Order: sequence, then structure tokens, then C-alpha cells
Amino acid sequence: MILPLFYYIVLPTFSSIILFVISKKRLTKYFALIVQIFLLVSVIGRIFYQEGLPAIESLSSHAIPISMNLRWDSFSGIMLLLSSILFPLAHLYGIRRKHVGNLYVFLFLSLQGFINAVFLSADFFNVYLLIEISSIIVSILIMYKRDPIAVYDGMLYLMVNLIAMVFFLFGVGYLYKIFGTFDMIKIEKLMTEIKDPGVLILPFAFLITGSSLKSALMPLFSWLPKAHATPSAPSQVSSILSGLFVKSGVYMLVRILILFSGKIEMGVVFIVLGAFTSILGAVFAFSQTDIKLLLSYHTVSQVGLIVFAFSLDAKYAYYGAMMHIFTHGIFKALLIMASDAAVSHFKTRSIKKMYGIWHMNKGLAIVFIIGILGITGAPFMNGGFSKALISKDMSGGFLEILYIVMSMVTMISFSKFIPFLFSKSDGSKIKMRIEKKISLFSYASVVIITGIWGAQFLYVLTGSDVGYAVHYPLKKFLIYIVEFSVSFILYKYFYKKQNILKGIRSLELDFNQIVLTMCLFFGFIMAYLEFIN
Amino acid sequence: MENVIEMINAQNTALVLLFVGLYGLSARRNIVKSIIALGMLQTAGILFFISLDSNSNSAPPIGVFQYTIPADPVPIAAMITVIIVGVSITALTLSMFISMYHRYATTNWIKVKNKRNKL
Repeated sequence: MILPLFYYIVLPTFSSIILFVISKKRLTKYFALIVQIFLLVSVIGRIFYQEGLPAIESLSSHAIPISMNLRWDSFSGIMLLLSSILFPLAHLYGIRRKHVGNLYVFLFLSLQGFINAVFLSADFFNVYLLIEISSIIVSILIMYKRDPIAVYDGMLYLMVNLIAMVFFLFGVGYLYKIFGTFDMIKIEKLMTEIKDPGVLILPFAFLITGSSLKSALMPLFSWLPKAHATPSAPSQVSSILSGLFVKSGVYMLVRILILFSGKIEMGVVFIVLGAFTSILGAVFAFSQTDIKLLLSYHTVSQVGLIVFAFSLDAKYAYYGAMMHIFTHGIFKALLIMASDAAVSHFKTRSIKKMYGIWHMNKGLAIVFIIGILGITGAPFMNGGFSKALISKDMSGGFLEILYIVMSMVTMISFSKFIPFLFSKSDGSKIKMRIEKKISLFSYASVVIITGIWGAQFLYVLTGSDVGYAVHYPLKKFLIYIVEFSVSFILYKYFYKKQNILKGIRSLELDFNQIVLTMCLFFGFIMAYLEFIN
Repeated sequence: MENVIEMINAQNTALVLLFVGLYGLSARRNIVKSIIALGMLQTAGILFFISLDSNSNSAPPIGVFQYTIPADPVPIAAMITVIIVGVSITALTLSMFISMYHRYATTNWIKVKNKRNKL
């Protein structure tokens, strides 16, 4: 069942408008779920039965070079599959909550349509408009319960992202001035005819600044923890943000880097930025006591790892990074949903006050363990598969040391969950409704299925068989256990240094400083490019 | 001297407007001034696109052309959407600001941040 590509955009958006007009609460909620599951089935069908990649479909009756196009290739296929899995499971988890009404379903379902369109679109101006509209919808969803904290976080998020999009708009404008078109495929072909790469410095700097802020790279990530972990945001929205929306920034960043890759080489800068983001994000995550803030700083860290892996410019690392986008989306959403179940039982978000999940609800504890094993890269989980692909080509040297430091800091920050899971409990049991159990079970089964059959999964999605080179000899299990034990010991050591941790927790940039950092980042990229040319 | 006069065209004016707007955003603590500066950034973007393929000899791209070459209509058409998005952004940020003022009673970014951290 292969639908034309524009159905993935039009179906959620139009059905959300129609459901909002009809305005019967129960019908709206459950019909939206049916629409999302239908989209998931059609995406899976398209992946299995597609003929040739990339598939380009024109949106008008003109011939392909002149018209506005939608493009499906392996990268956008992975992102669309991730979006189609995350949205229905997030909706199912919270479907009987109080705040899920007509307006909420309207915003949520149309957000799915716009995010799908960002991934499918092959036209720079469309991408600019869609990311703007998605940012507006996301900021309304963050502020949905109109808490004072949420109002500040939502406004900060909106203004910072709009400024980043103005940078992006200027970059698109300069590209139009040079090439005469907005279309990504045509620009790729015309790029080979540029003789003087000095012309491309200004558009590149504008585009990269905009995309780096959307993907929360090192100096520009202050908006992310506030937006993703604001106390009263519905956790479905947080899981979509952390799992999917921040990846749209990475998607645009990687597309732009690949587009300009013949003329402008920025590999070293993004390796350093990605590694720095990853380590610093995990250090910030470790110093938090709020469980949602911990998970959202950890998102920053993993996005740094993804950017690091993309800019290594090696075949295994490229596919590993693409897989890591998918796997990180799944297990981050799993951890956010599972921690929401724990938060609603204990009525507090501080991880120090929550203990003994194993004795309270074995299913929830197993789901947590699967998520943690996935995120730290255990063998046979999908996180382990993608991390093994990323580190396959690193043979000694500085890069391997950086990678080991990054994965160990991740493990240290997740060692906080061990007392959370296994200490003594006070005897009460956590009861969860049936839809929450189904949702968590589906997340966990996707983690395990794409872990064990990871190579086949990668082959079906992208047509490349690099995944078959990943093996799990006994050595890998032992290395994992040793790494985790060392991390746990280091965690116990750092746990006592409470003053340093409190100091790290209080570092925060306010709005003016964020904008100033953006301008300095832009200036730094321009200076670096002028210097190497 | 001709070089300097040549550089005063609409695109460079848009760049100057962009940086003035960015200065306003990074150096002023009043939230309403930030929203005004954001509107300035939008205007800079629109000016940049509208003047992309035009010089003093080109005609507006409407109507019948006999002896003049029209300016490029594609970016001009794209800017209709951007103007609409800009208006809706201004409306949305202003209403968010009113919501924030009801809860925090201040129009200063730093005071709002301190109050939020105490909550």
C-alpha cells in the first residue's frame, strides 16, 4: 500500500482540522489515534515495498526540475518511520488524561503533519516555513497548562527559535541570489559549477547558525532543557520534542553540510563541537536531581554524539549516526513516558525522593532497565547496535579516547537510576492503566526488535549491508560490564561533591545572553571560514 | 567612492537592519523591546528577498511587459507568506507577554528569570 508522498502531510493536517470542527471529544481522540496508526502502517508498507531510492514526487503539474518537490530517500525514510512510531504511542499513553481535549488533539495531530513535511520537503523555503509553524505549535503545547514556569519557558523557546529562523531565512535568501532556485536537488547539481567558494561563506554561516540552534549544539542549547522539561508540560509533548523535534534540526544541519560538502569543509569544527556538547551535556545531566531535566540534558548529550558521528566522514559512522537518531528517539521517549508514570505515583520530580521501583511494579522496572541498557549501548539493544556502528572504524588515537570518555560520562549520569530502581520501597504498588502498559510495552519491544535484528532493519531501510559487520563477541559483553562498573564507582565518588554539582546546576543563560551567544557563534563560523580560505 | 555608493543597496540595508535588530535583542532587557526588535528582523528578511533580482531599470512583475524586463516574481510571492507569518508571530508573542505579565508583574527578562528560579 504505497501512498503518494503528500498524503503523509495532508492526512494528519486535514483530519485534525475536520476533527476540530466536529468537536466531539471522544470521537476526536480515538479517531486521531486511528489516523496515526494508519499512517504508521502505510510508512512500514512503503519501506518494505519501495522500488528505487530516492523517490521524488512533484507537487504540481509541471515537470520535475521546475516544480516544488517532495523527496523520500533513506535518511528521510528513517525520520518518517520514527515520527510515525512516536506519535501514536505518545498519543495512546495519555489518551485518557484530562487535558487531552479538542484543541490539544488539533495541535498534536497537525504537528505530526508539519514535522513529516519538514522531513519530506526538498525545498528550502518550505522547510523555513514549516519549522517556523512547528515551533509556534510546540511553544503553545509547552504552555498548554498556563503554569507561570511554563509561560516563561514557552516564551523563551519561541523567541530564541524565531531568531534562529531569521538567520536561516537570510541564508536561504543568499542561496537564491547565487543559484536562482529554492530547490535542494537543483542546488546540489548547480553547486559543482561554482568556481570560487568564497561566495558561499555567508549563506553557509547563516544556515549553519540557524540549524545549530535548532539542534542544540554546544553554546546554543540553553533553551532545550527549559522547553523539554518544564514542570507542567504534558509528557507526551516532551517525548515528541526530545525524540523527534530536536532531530529535525540535526536533519537540516546534516543536509546542509552534505550540500556544501564539495566546496566548504567544516569537519574538524563539528567533531570538536559534537564531542564537547556530548561531554558537557552529560556532566550537566549528572548534576540534576529533577528526573525530567536529567533526561533532557541527556538529549543534548546524545545529539552531540550524533553530530560527532556524522562529521567523522566514515561510512560506518554515517550509518551508525542515522541509526542512532532512530534508536535515541525510541528509548528517550520510552524513558520519558516511564518516568512520567513514576512521577505521577510519587507526586514529586526529584529522583532522590523516588526509590524501589522494582518492588512496586516489575513491568515498569523492566521497561526502565531496557531503556537504560539501550541508552548506554548494551549489546543486543538497538542503542548498542548504533553505537557499535559508530565506533567500528575508530582505531586508536584521539578519536577513540574521546568516544570512550563520551560513553562513560553517559553511563555515570545514568547510574543515578540504579538506587532509583533497586533500593527498598515502602510497600505500595504502582498501578497503571491499560493504555499506558500497551504504550510502554510497544516502545520496549521496538527497542529489542531493532536491536536483535538491527542489521536486517538497516538493510531494509537504506539498502546498505554495513550492519552485518557488527558482531557481539563475548569480549563486548565483558567490556560493557567493566565500563558500567567503573562508571558506578565514579558516580559514587562524584556523588559526594555536592557543592560542585550545585554550582553546575545554577549556571544558566538568560535571553540576552543567548542572543549574544548566537551572534558570537555566527561570527566565529565566518571568521573560521575566512581563515581557511 | 563609487564602490561605497554601489554598496548602499537594499540587500546591504537588510543586513544592517538585521544586525541592529540583533543588537536590540541582546542589549535591551525590556521584553516589549525584544518583540519590537523581532519585528525588525522580520522586516529585514522581507526587504532582502524583495530586492533580490531587481535594479533601478526593472519593472514590477505585474501586467503586460513590452520594453522592460520585470523583476523576479518568485521571492516576492514567497514574501507574502512571510509577512503573514510575521504578523501572527507578533500577535502571538504579544499575547504571551500579557500572559507572562499577569503572572510575574515585571517586564524585565532578568527579573522574570530570577522569579522563575525561585518558583
